Amino acid sequence: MDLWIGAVNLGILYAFMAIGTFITYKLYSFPDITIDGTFTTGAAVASILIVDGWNPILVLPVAFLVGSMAGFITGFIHTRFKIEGLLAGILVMTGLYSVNLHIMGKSNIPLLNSHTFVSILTEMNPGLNAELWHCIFLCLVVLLFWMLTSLFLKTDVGLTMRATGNNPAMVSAQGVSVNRMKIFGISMANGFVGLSGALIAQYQGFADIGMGIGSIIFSLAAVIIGEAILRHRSMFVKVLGVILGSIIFRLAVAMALHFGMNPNDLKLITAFFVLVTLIASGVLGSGSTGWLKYVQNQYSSNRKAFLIVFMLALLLMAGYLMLKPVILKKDSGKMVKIGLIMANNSDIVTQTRDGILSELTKLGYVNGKNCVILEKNAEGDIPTNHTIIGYYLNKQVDIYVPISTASTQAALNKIKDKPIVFATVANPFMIGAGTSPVNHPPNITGVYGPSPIGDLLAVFRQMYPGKVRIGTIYNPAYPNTVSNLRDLKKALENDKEITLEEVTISGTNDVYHAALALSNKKICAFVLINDLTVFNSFESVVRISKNSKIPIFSCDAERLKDGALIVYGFEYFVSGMQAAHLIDRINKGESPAQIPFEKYKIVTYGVNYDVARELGISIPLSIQAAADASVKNGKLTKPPFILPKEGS
Amino acid sequence: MIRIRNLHKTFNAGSLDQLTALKEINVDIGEHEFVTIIGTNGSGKSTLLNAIAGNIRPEKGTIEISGRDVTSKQDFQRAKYISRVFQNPYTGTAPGMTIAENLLMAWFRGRRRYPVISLKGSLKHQFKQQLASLDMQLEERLENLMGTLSGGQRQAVTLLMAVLQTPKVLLLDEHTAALDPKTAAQVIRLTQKFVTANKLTTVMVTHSMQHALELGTRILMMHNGRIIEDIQENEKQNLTMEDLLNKFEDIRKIEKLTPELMESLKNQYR
Repeated sequence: MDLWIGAVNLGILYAFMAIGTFITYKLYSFPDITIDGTFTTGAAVASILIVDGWNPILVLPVAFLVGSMAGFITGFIHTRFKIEGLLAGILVMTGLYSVNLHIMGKSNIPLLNSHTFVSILTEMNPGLNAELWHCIFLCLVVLLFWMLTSLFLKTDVGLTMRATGNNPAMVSAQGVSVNRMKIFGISMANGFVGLSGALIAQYQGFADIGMGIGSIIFSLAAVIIGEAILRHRSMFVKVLGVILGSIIFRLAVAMALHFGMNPNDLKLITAFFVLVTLIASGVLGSGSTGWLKYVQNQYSSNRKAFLIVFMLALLLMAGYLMLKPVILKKDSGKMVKIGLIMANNSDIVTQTRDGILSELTKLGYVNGKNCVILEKNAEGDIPTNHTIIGYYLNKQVDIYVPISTASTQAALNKIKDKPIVFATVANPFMIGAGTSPVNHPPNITGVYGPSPIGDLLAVFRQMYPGKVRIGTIYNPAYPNTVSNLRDLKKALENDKEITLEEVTISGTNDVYHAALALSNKKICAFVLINDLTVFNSFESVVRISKNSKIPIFSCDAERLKDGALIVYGFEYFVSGMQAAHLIDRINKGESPAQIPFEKYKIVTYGVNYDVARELGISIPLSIQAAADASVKNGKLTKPPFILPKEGS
Repeated sequence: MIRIRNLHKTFNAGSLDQLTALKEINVDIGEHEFVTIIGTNGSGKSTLLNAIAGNIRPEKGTIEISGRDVTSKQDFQRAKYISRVFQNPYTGTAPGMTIAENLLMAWFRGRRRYPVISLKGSLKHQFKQQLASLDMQLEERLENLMGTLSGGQRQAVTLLMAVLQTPKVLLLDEHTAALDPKTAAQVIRLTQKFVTANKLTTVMVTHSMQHALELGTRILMMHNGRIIEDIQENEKQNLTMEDLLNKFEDIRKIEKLTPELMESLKNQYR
């Protein structure tokens, strides 16, 4: 049941954002894309203030204000400089990305151990199920919000806003500045979006630089669903429709997950759904003819039928939910349920997963025979991590296995009384999982480790002594990257003869230019810290490396075959193997509280002789002797992974 | 009431399509005067009205309304003094809102709006009574959407909205041109009624020679951006359709209009 109540809660919190879109899109016919940025801004401001010790309720009006300031800028450049609304929104949204990074100082702020509205609610809980208690409270809040918003839209100011969207020439003739009214409305809408961001950040326990992506489509979907199910002129009904639309949309996400759909397809389906509804409802212009007109007529005359089908679907779902415990009891028996949560599809994550699965098999776990192994991938979408956990809660998973930082953060926040075994997290302490490998929350353990950048530098020094210049590229939007960069700078403090040239990027498209810029700065090598964005376009760096004969040193073992000269890094496959052993120990009765966090146990030290030949670099014999992996004539050789025995 | 000095407006200045719409317009319109403006297409009559309303910024000259220089004020700032009815019956009202809500917009013309709900009992009752004065059975449709009304009905409501708060100046921009003759006559009757009842200072642009003769106290005839005739009340009383057409004939002589153009002009004003 937690999955569905959790979805309702998310829907309520996202409803504030949907109301913002309702104002811009329905009242002003101007789908304001600024909100993709404003949502994060609200979350960023709230988190930074909460970490600073502010009252979590007091930060909400601040988030509203800051959000409305962003909206003000969009409205201002749209009206004052006559820049098309969509473009004005895109401009401000793009700029907000940098502003948000500056507000947060890093790309992710955990609120796990901070005082949030959720922790306040938990303190007041009279003993109900946590999600249910949140839901009851949030329903009351949204009820109040519904009344106030609807009433506001009926006031003289609210009416003037609606009239401004409906017929600007008319309100202008009645002495109202259309520009001022537009700016006011867009500001207010973005205020609500900022508020929504602040609430979501507190609810999910962190703010993240990427959390706003796609907001406009999701809130458009909510508005459109609301319009389809409730059609009435009354503002009360309209606003209620938007709130319900938001809840239904989140339920749909949960349902998609429940029935095993890839959550990443949800974006495509949502976009498609929004488009079809727009066409069907004739928003895209009235001059349609032929079949299009037929579809539009069908839609407008059969809205009731649509509603009935929708209700039936809901009934079916409710029926299924009621029967489900009976169905589930049949097959799942007493087998341990292990739920893997993956944040994305990167090498690092999939390697870890493969490691876990292969080692679990070796330890005698067979999926479906003596255990149930569930796998879900959030495909890079942060809120989806949350929904996956809700889904697992519903499936009564026994051991939660989040892979990578984002998933672990979500699990930490929601799972308090079941064991969590995380894998491949650079720095678990940064996201609030305790203060040391032994001092951690009682239900959590896992495998972690910062990349061995110091060791990589030592190898680099063997080849390039004296006064040298090195270059690195990174995307400051990833918390792991920022922590890796800090480690690199720390290692460089002991070696004043190395000058570090750094170039920041915001996406894979920037990597080529960044590498080019570095090659022009007379660096002797690329020393790359672990960064998903750089790894995703590693080819770009390799091309520059070959053209300008500058070698690549990397902390990621996987990059050896891709064209790095030297790698010195952990094997994430091994991280997975280690995690599998921890899962096994917990399943056999050990308490995670007694298991210290483990560091990665196997390092790969590799040399790519093909690259050395191509770049005209000779590898010192000492390195040749020490390295345990190599690429020669296109062939990768690596020692097999054998975990050292416990305690050794 | 309205004082216009040396008003000058050129469209597309400096380009091949350069068009001088207003040339040295000097005119005074007194309180309670009802002026009709007639003229050929492109004579500048609509431009003059838009300049008074503030939709068009002149490059030279000044406009004063009851002693205040409003030349640099935008249209919504002038709405405190001026109310308007447009040629297009759909311009003056918001179709997605109810009749009552539209009337409320006009109720607050030129005034500050606060987040309070004014549209309730007593005000609705007042709106209902005023709608009854239109004689269009709209008083029971206060909660209907504006978009469900016919063009004529919408124009009548627009007219009511324009006088809901008595304006210093009422501007009518060919406000019956898009209506069928029967509805047009009805709207003209209402116009007469409201203007007389409130003693409004009115400027009406019209294409109908008959309306110009029947309504108002003064006629301005425009051509090529200038006011070429200013017919005051005493002269207007004895004016006939024939006289007006002769005046157009005079323009023809001065401007050397082709007979075809003259013919189309006559047709237009028949």
